[in-house]
Amino acid sequence: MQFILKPIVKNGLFLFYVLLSIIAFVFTFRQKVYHKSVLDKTSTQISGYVDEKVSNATQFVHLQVDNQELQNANAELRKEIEKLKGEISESDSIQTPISNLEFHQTYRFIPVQVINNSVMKSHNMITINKGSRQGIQKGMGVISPSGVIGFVSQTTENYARVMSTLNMNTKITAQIKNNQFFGTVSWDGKDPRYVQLSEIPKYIEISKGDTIETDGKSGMIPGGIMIGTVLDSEVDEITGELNIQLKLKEDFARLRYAQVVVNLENKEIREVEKSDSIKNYVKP
Amino acid sequence: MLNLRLFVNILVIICLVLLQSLVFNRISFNHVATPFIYVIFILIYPVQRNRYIFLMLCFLLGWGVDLFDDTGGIHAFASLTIGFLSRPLIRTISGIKNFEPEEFRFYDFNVGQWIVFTIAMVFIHHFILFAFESLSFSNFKGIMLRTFYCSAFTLIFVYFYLILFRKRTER
Repeated sequence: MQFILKPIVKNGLFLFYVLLSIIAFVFTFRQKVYHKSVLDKTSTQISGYVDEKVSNATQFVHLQVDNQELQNANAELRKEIEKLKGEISESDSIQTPISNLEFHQTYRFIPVQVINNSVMKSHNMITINKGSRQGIQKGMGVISPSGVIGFVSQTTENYARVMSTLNMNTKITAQIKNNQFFGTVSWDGKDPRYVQLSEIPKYIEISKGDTIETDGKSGMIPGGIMIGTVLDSEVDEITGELNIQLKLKEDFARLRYAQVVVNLENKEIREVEKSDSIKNYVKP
Repeated sequence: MLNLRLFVNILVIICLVLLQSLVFNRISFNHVATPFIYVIFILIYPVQRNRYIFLMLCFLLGWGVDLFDDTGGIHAFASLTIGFLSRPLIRTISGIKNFEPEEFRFYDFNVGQWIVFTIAMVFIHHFILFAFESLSFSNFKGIMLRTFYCSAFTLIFVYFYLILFRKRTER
């Protein structure tokens, strides 16, 4: 018995250290795998509450800049409305009446405030001040007037956590505005001002300053929302695809307002995709 | 006596966690450097006291920061590790042949030894923090750069605190 107990007593401190380290590891990896765990929900609730208080206190400082940004967004929207009005009046609306089926609404937007944000980690997350009570669900896209912010990863009653675009696990399908070729936007974790576009074949011509926008195929984010502009591109020697460096339009470090995208037809889309997979592949 | 001391330590930890998460996490110099001032607690904790309680306190401190930062357990692991390494480091740096932790006080250190000790501790802490956060060494250059910048920033605050608020004899 002595020879078992002696080393344990002698190395007690080290064993204690290992034990506590294991607990820390468990905390870390459980957070990354099971987003819905109880501990995380309380954690989101606590930090959400504190962050909202802090945000309430500090938002007055930014009021002027925010007003300016709202004005700009308003002007943009008004321009778009005028353009659409013109198009409708030009088309022969008497002979072909506008049908409800063609012009029904697909997306709804919930305005939210960003109450906690980071750009310096490799897996950045954002907290927003609305949650499941306001109709926000896991998986919804989040956008701002000048870009894609990310996807909702978990919700509590009044808060939600958003996986930022500046998170190495986030992948966004995007297309080149000129020729509609699509690829994947991801982040390499180095500089919060730039993201990377991959999976574009090397015979595509691309030049500096080209606009990259969302393609709307995912159903989480409507198409045509600008992500950024091409900074430079080079051919990857291993995969033979282009590695394109994008400059983000949105400045994530001073992000304060965003909109959560609710796809009103999401249920229907999912149903149709589900039936596809079951009927065609399970039953031959 | 022990219970009172433990209670005071836990209060200090709560204050440090709140200070770190409410004030210092929001400072980001050039989007790269954030000071992690809570390591001060681990740096100036007396060597002669019970090590098991010390490790436990380190864990609580790191975990508290994790809770506010939503990072799982990476701060807990990093502060635990420097807590565990602090006594061997002190033994190495002090250069005393028959090192007895019960006899050692921090004012036995001269200024140079103090600087080496703090730099080593803060650097190890930050390196573990960032390496563990990205969970790979593919971006090794980035990790090292961030470690350097953040360490420098943290050390500035640590020295501010030590010079301003600690008495000469305690330092």
